[in-house]
This record gives sequence, C-alpha cells and structure tokens, in this order.
Amino acid sequence: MSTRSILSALLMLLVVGLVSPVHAQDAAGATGTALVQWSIITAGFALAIAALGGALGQGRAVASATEAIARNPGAAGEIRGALILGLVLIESLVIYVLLISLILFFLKPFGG
Amino acid sequence: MRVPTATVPPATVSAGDRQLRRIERDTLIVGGGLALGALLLWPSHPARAAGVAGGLALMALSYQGIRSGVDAVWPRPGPGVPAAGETAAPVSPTLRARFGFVKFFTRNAILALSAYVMMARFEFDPMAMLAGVSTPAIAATIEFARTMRVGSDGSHSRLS
Repeated sequence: MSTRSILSALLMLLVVGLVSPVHAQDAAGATGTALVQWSIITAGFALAIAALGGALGQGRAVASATEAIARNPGAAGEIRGALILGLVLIESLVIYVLLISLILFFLKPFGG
Repeated sequence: MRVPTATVPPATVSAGDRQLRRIERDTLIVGGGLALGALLLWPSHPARAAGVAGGLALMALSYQGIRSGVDAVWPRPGPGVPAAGETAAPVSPTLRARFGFVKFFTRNAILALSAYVMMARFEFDPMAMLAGVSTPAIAATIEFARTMRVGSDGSHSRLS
C-alpha cells in the first residue's frame, strides 16, 4: 500500500470522526441520533467500497477474458460463458451491499 | 437429402452457453422454490415471498444487462456472424448492439432504482430480497457440484 493510500485512508477516518460530533450535539437522544448518523455514514462508505471492489474485479475479469480470447479465439464461447458467470457473481456481491445500504438509508433499523 | 430445420445450429450453442442455461434454470428453480416456501411458511406475510421474487428480479435485470453488454462486444457465433478466428468484414453496430451497450452501462442505475422502489415503496421484506439475490450463487454452487460429481465418476466433464 502506498503512502498516498495510507494518507487518504487516515484523512477519511478523520473526516468521519469529525462529522459525528458536529451533528450530534443535542443532549437528548444524542445516542440514537449518533447511531443513525453512523449507520448512514457506514452505508455510504460500504456502498463506495463495494462499488470500487466490484469495478476493479469486473475490470480485471473483462481484461483477462479479452486477452484470453485474443490468444485463443476458438475458445471464445467457453470464455464468454465463464466471463458472464463471473461478472454476475461479482455484481451479486455489489447488489448485496446496495440492499443493505438501502435498508440502512430508508428502513432505519436503528431507529430515527 | 437432409431437410433444413429452423433449430439453432450446433455452432451457436457452446459449452459455456449450455452451462449458463443450466445455471439460469437452476436459479429459477431455487428462486421459485424459495418464494413458494416463504408463501407457504408465512401466508399472512406475502411481502416475504414478494421479496424473494424481487431479489430474483434484480438479479435477472443485472444478468440481462451484463449478458447484452458481453453479446454486444463478442457476438455469439451463428448464421450471418463469422465464427471466432475467422476474418470478418467490418460490420456497423446494429441497433441490438447499441441497446445492449445502453443496458450494460445503465444497469446499475436501473438496479438501484428498482431496489429502492421495491424496498421503500412496495415494502418488500429486505431479508427475503437478500435471499432472492443469493439464488444465482446457489445455482452456481449446484452447477459446480454437478460438474465435480460428473468429473469424479470418471466420465467426461459436462463443461466439455
């Protein structure tokens, strides 16, 4: 991991740490409000990380499939099938996170 | 003299396509079974069965988007389409390929909108939706187990 990545991660943690106290200054119900805020922040970060990971994985899969088809065009049918299956399974993980984020955004299981 | 039929030529169905069709079929069977089971177990909560069906519909949307995008880039070999490896004359993008690209690149927006409508507006059960989304993974596991079983029997693999 490069120094820039570590610095970016630390900066994100700092921003997340600063956001909660600013918005949770009311004494009454501060715990519940903070919990809701944290759940929403977590949902946003989870969706962003899932999208990043899914995009990277799908990009690698498509790049590998393109290279494989270019090397062996006769196996294009088999590679297509494996590629579609792989992309769908990667996408399903992103959809899991999307659904969990939507639960946190709209259904608010922690109150609020 | 052999009479030409309207069936799909063998060259159009590769081993990968056959495998995908088996996984599609297994996904529908598993998803339908889960939805039916939810309906039978909780008849007073139809939102659970609807949630399973909704999750299945989300995966179907995603699958169609991905498949049409892949088909637009690498068309399946068939009549009128040169097989892989053959030199082909440059073909202008057809309407189907353009529509495939549109579906491929807009599928995430369509998915997010559909999931929002199902969950926040129709109030489908969220856990059931997660179960519905899991069905392709279950079907892929079944296909993997089937392939391993056929391979361990000493016969040829179903992939080939």
